[in-house]
Amino acid sequence: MIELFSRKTAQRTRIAIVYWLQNAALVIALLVFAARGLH
Amino acid sequence: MNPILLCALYLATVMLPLALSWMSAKPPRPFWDELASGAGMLAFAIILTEFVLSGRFRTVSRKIGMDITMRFHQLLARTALVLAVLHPFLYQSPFNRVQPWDTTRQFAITSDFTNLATGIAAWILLGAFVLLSIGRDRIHYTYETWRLAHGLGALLIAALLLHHTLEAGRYSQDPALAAVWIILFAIALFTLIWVYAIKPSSQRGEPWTVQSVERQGLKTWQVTLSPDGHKGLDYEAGQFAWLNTNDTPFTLNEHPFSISSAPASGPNLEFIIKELGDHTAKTGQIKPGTRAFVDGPHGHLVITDRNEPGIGLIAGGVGIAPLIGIMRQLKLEEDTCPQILLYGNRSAEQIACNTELEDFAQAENRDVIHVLSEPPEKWTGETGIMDADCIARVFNKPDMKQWVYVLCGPAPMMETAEDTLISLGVPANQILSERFQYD
Repeated sequence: MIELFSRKTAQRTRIAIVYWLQNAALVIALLVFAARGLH
Repeated sequence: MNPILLCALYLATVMLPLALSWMSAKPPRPFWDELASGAGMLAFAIILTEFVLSGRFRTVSRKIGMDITMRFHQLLARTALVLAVLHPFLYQSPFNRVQPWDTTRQFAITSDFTNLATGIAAWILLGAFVLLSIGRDRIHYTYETWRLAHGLGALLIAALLLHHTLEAGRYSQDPALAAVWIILFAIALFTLIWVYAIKPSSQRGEPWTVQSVERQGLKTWQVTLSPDGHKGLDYEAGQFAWLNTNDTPFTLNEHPFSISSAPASGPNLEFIIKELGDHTAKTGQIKPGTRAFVDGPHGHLVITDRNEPGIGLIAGGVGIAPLIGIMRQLKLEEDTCPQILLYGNRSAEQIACNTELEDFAQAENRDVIHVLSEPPEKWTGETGIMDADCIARVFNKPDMKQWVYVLCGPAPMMETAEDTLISLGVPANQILSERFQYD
């Protein structure tokens, strides 16, 4: 899949995908951190 | 550095304060309070790492390109802004004076004005700062004003946030997290010192002299520099450098230009610069003998280690500059692999290095195809804009899928070229490009 990603995807799309993956990772980390207060 | 490793390192850095807060002995507060604190910490960590992304560090930019590094700098600023804007509004606990018995600040958000004031000031400044940066091209301030305002503004915001975080932040009362914030701030400060003091200091010992400024097309100049008392720059064809033609390296008046000379041609450096109505408008007035300073090389538009059987070069306007450098280098190396240059301009007068390109096209296995959107009478070459059809007509042979392609020009042209080449079956990792505009 990574091979396909690097061979078939234009640079601006690769940048957008990596950016939104990073954002998703940050949001997940934030929610997990905040969820400690639910208990 | 490997791009995946770089992404992982980035995420680890910006999440480090969150992780340390998690590990602290403080009991968690209600969900929304923790979300607010977490958003604030992430925003501040992103803001501090923004300095590193724009710090011209070759370790960061060599593998993935300075243009992509800068694009992430721009995009992540938006993420930081969203998190920072949400931060104060997510708190549910009351803003009260923290009671002496509430040693872990669990039951109130501080209402101390001094501690909050720096956060509020940074909050307002950050919003204005990011919006002014996004709209940079629409606000016609000079490049020097922009650099000064951006650098000092970012430093002011970071300093305000450091005070706010250390004084008002619940988790930052922990010495380990406080130390992390101070270290991250020190790194951010160091990147400014690196760009504006350390690098210019090192350039002072390696000055250059302008040898000539020659017209190479309509409003297009070739500026040649020679090293003054040093061996020159160790660069690869296709790279770029920040050029400064002032008497001192300590100036904001330096600009990135592609190097158009070939490393194999000797220590002199050549830049092809087009007058675009900004700082480049006076390029033709630079006098031979002028002192110059060069910060470089930067960029990843290089084919040195590539072994594809052919090279497709696609340039628009002054985007020819790095490609000329690559072509000159290949010529000096007597490289015999097929090379085709597809070169778009508005008019014939705008074609840079026309005579040199005609010579280039005479050689075996080499071709130059011009595309003009406003062709003169009796023009027999390609006309119109360099669209998908035009690119496909030139590079549609089956064996050309194996070639490496180098693109440089206006963003729409590069996007069209990249999409077209991929649709023709060229793997994206055989398409090299570098942009100087990202939005």
